[in-house]
Amino acid sequence: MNTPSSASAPLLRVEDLVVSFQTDEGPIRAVDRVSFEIMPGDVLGVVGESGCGKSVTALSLLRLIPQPPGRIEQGHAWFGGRDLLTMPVKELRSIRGREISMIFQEPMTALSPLHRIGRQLVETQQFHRDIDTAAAWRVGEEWLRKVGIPDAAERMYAYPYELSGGMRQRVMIAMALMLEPKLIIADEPTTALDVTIQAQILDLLRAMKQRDTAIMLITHNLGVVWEMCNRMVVMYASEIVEEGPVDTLFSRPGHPYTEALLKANPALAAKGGKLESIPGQVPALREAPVYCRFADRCRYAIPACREAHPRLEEAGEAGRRVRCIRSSERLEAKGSAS
Amino acid sequence: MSQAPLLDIQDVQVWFPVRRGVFSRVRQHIKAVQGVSLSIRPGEIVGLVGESGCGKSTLARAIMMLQPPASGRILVDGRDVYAMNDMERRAVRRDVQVIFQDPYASLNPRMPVYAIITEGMVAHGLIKPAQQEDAAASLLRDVGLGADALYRYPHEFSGGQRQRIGIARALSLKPRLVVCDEAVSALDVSVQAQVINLLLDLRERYRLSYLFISHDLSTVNFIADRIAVMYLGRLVEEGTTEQVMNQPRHPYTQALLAAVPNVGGPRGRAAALAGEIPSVAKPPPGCPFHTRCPHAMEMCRQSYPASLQFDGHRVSCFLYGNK
Repeated sequence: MNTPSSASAPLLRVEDLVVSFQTDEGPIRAVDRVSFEIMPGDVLGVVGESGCGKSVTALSLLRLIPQPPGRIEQGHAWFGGRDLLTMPVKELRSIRGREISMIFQEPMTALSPLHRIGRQLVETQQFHRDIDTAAAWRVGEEWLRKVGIPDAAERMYAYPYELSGGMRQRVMIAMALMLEPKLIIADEPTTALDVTIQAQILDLLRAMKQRDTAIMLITHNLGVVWEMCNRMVVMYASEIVEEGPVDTLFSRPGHPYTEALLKANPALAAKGGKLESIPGQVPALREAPVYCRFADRCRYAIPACREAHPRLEEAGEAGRRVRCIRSSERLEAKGSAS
Repeated sequence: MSQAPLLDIQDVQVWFPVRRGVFSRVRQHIKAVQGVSLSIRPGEIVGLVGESGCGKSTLARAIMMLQPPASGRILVDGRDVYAMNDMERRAVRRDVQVIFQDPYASLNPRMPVYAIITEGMVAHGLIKPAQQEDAAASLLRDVGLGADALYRYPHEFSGGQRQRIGIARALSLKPRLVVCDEAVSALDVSVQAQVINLLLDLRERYRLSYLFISHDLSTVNFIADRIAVMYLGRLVEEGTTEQVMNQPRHPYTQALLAAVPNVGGPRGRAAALAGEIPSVAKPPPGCPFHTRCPHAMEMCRQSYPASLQFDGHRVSCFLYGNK
């Protein structure tokens, strides 16, 4: 099946992804029927708290979760008409790094500690392209310069441990961008960095966006989502609870969890008052209720919320989906109030 | 100043020796904290912000009596903590407590919760071992945990609950000052909000003072009465939260505020600061910020500016005059 690429065709379409992990007490679902799309040039923010399944979703797309104990149970990830989840590993390898590349939180885990930066940049190119070492070296050096590494020619001979955290992150970004992929999956790319360095890295990612590269940005930092993304997905207890345009979700959150995340953020709270906190804690995946998984912590819960598991449905504005039976009612009330 | 400070840090320097060579001679000193002065009044929350290597945690260790300063004095209730006899020192150790970033690393995994949080009380002779359970139950109530936590072990709790246990332990000695070293940084936002609310509650109830160390400006803005900003061992600016957040004077503070992604604010601003934070082992001469400062002048490369005061708002920068 060969889908012709057009402006309206999604670059990546994830359908009904389910990923489970085998544990001593039986299997748990880390990702539960997750579906979303990324259009060319989109910057999609994926937010949620620890353990919500956002990183496992990203890793599963490139089949990078350890199997076992992990297992992709079902679903598709259509990328240019091909399913990333079922294609032969050999074919997937030609996509990884070339068409879809990944940036991790801790670059030390992604760079080889034993090889000089230059050699790693050359090898990555030679794996995907027919290019001689001298030419690949020049391209690598050029990319180090593009991501703002001073003394690039000299740094080509450095080992990763000789660089600071911000510099290592730049090297990984250079490596991810060098082959001009169509999609970059960035998992908490700035979480370990100081804010002034974070701002520099976000500038780099913004520059990529301008070349029509799509970015899937996994983060717990709502400020970063606001600055960088046009769409966002909110995950809670392994599933998507809300999805839609960033402006819409920030100004009129549809799911009570999205609303609570925004209100718990000290940057958005009125000083001198209390932060709005969410009572209790995220349920252990094995004990997640069969009804709405957020109901037991939700200030808007009514008895009907504990009767069935809600579906992710369009609510309020077009292009927004919410997993909450009260979302339409609440969004209407908010709309008339404002 | 209406009240005598509870904690008074006066011109403190903390140096670490660097030993090299066959005879491990001291070749140089890393000056982790240089000439820092800061005071905290009873009931006050002072936020201390800065990026990696700025010396904020080293300063905390000096306050905790874990790292004697090379020069300068640290006074609690007007008395120098490094010039005390053992009796006085024990008393001050009760008055000043700490909460760390990673509660898991700071809680003994082999001790049940009740023993963890009352160990200090027994050591200080506040209670007898037989009273530990009762004392622990009341402390757990204060931090919002049930009595069912008493006999469980740290690994059975979530991150937020472990942080509450850490807070209960800090409170057990009825301290007056609690140093929170990145105490909420590792927590998810919803849990972070719970812990911040708890800290604010406890301040009201026990009239605690906090030195709230964090790299997260929005949290510090929310919780602190005053904010101090450090860069490479120097305290570059200090004032009320309103002064520092609304009228930052030091170019570094301005850049730091501009770098924080601001929900609802303008998007796509370019990074305000180029370049890296220099190494603490080889700080630039003069004002250590001059290598990244958009306003750097010749004198910034040569000498360090004195601290200037404007309405209780202190700043060390030649832009505001040259004393």
